[in-house]
Amino acid sequence: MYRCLRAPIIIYENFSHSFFLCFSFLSLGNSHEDIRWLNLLRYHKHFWGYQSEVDSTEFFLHPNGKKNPQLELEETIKQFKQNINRLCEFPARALILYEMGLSPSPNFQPCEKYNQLKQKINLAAVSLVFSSYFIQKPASAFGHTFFKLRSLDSNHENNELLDYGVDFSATVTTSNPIIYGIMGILGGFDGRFKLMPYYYKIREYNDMESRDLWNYEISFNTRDLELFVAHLLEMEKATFDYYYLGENCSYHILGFINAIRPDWQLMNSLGMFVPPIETIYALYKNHNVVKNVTYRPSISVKVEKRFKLLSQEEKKIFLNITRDENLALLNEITNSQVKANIIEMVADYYDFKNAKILLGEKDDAYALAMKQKNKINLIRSKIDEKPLEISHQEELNNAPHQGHKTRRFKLGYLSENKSHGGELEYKFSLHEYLDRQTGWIPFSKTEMGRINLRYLEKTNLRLDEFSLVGVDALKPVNALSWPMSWRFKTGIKDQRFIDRQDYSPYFDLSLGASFIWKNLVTAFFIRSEQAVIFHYQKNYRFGLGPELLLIFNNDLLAFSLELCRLKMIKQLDRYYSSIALKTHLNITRNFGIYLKDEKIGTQKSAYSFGVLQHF
Amino acid sequence: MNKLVLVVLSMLVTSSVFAAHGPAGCGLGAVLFKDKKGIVFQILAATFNGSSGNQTFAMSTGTLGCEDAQTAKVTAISFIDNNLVALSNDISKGEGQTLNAYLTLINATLADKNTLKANYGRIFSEGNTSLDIHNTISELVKL
Repeated sequence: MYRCLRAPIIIYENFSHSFFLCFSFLSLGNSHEDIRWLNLLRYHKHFWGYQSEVDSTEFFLHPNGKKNPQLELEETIKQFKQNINRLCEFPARALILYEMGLSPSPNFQPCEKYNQLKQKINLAAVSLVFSSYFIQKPASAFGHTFFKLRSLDSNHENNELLDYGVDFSATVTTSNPIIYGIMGILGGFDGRFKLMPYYYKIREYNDMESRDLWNYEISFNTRDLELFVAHLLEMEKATFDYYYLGENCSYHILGFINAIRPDWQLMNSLGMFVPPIETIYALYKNHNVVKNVTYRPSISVKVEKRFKLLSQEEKKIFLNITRDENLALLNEITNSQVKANIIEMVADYYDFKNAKILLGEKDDAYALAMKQKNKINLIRSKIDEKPLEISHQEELNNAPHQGHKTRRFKLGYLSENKSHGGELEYKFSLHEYLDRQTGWIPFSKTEMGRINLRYLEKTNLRLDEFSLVGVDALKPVNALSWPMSWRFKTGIKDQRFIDRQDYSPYFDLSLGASFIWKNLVTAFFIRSEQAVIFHYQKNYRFGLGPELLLIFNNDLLAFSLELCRLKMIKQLDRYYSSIALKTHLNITRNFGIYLKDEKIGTQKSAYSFGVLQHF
Repeated sequence: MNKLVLVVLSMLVTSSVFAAHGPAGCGLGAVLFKDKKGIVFQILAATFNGSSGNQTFAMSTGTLGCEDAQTAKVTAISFIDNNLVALSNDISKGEGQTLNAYLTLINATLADKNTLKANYGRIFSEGNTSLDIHNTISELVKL
């Protein structure tokens, strides 16, 4: 009954869907297929019909609402007319129905909870925040996203500590890693949106985990901001099965924006596997979605940059103070500017090294750490000079949204043991050290799901290797610390290079140290290889030996040299050596050419070249 | 429980100075930070992109869980509890974002930050709780 004529005309920029131009003429009969309705309730069309991603029954007003957007729409309109409380519980639906011309302008005056939320947040702007990677923390390898809500009240303050944060997270119900892994893949945990002070996020990610925070402010208009808060209230009733690989935190955070602005079509570019950075790339599919980008450095970046600012003499004094934990050395400094520079470095470094304790449980270790912290700060409070200012232009030039896409294929010519053919490699994600490094951790590798196929005259088409996970965490030694570098890879591969195939599960692990000089990294490891080869009676193979890895990468040109000599202890009592030289010429952000030459013992000698494309 | 009592008491004592805006410690749901430790869990978390719910980050949940507007006002105590290190850093420097935020929350944006800096030892003397810190600052900025 409220159909066409009461509806306002909403004009969207760059919006091509005709329903927005003539939605006044929709009848209730097909209104349930309006993209605004479908996105708001997270409906997706499958070949058997519609289904919402929301799994909690309380989110739906009709018993079959999860699978039937039409019944849910009709029931919503009916209940809104009969019961004002329903409208108050679902204010975003009320706003959308009004836009669609299916209900009168909603009166939210009696909606106490909604009005309190609106007043509390008083929303001025929304940013999608990308919590970047920190190579020393394995859990950060894939990144993370959440919202930052800027209040009108604190807009003039421009202070993130006064903002709100909204994240989407799983409620983990087990501490058993195996069950955790299985439930995570199969959607065994409930995920939901949570509102909190944004400083929680700063302390958690910036300080505790040493991860940079990148704010991508979304260009929401007044209507969008109102709908955002209304939808946030509705989401209180929504739980989702949390799938770590696909429908994860970043997927649902982007889905939230997609519900507010269906015209941006943000979800279209996402694949089955959703690395958080892909949701940032999705924002850039339209040129007008991101209003501006700001950066908040992690404590580790601050420490690293501040150390570089110090003079040689200052560095020496700082290292002595840190090594001996002797703050009295500061008393010997007569130049107050030098003293200011050093105490700032001491304070930042102390926070970085003791982040877990200082931001953790308030136990005895915490009390001890705070005591030392206060001693440092007391000295600083008596110094009037300001320390040297850090510039973060370098990091801003390396913003995550400028990185290459996460999937990649390689296609090229292959010559192996004098037989000729071709090779195809497909990688589901994410980055390796020969790829263009902008936006990623330099000299690192984080791979999930890589398939290598080869075709040769002698052997025809065969699967060479399937690598499930591969991580190379090269943490170069520096004046502040001597971190361990490591490589880890597991999957299955063809262990026989002749006619017969023999697929073996393998597990490779290397531990060592790496050193960096400009664009060149040299790493030394002790390598272990383990495999189960079913063809042999003694089917367990174990090898141990030294490994050298050399990497050069200046974004355009990258090459690596890998040398390894292993003593095979089990199954084969002999040594074997391998050498591999790989080169990438990264011509554009996502396209390049590659060249590879490798030799494994006396069994395999191969070279290949071709093209690579990230997508 | 003691912390909750402390926060409620401190709210009663000092609620007049709380600004009506800024991040309250209330949420749509409770913020959970499970104490999941161990490298295997960390690697799994990386593999499965599970960032939340596996942190070792402990935070005061002071007023979290309160849903009504009456208790949804900012508590300076909760802010200090959760930002103690950053706030102490800023006060020792006499400037900084965390100090500015705190002064906004207690409606004291015009406070002389150098006075706080000069009294660092008093504000953060050994054994001081968040309530003590808040009271000392309030006294120094003459609230």
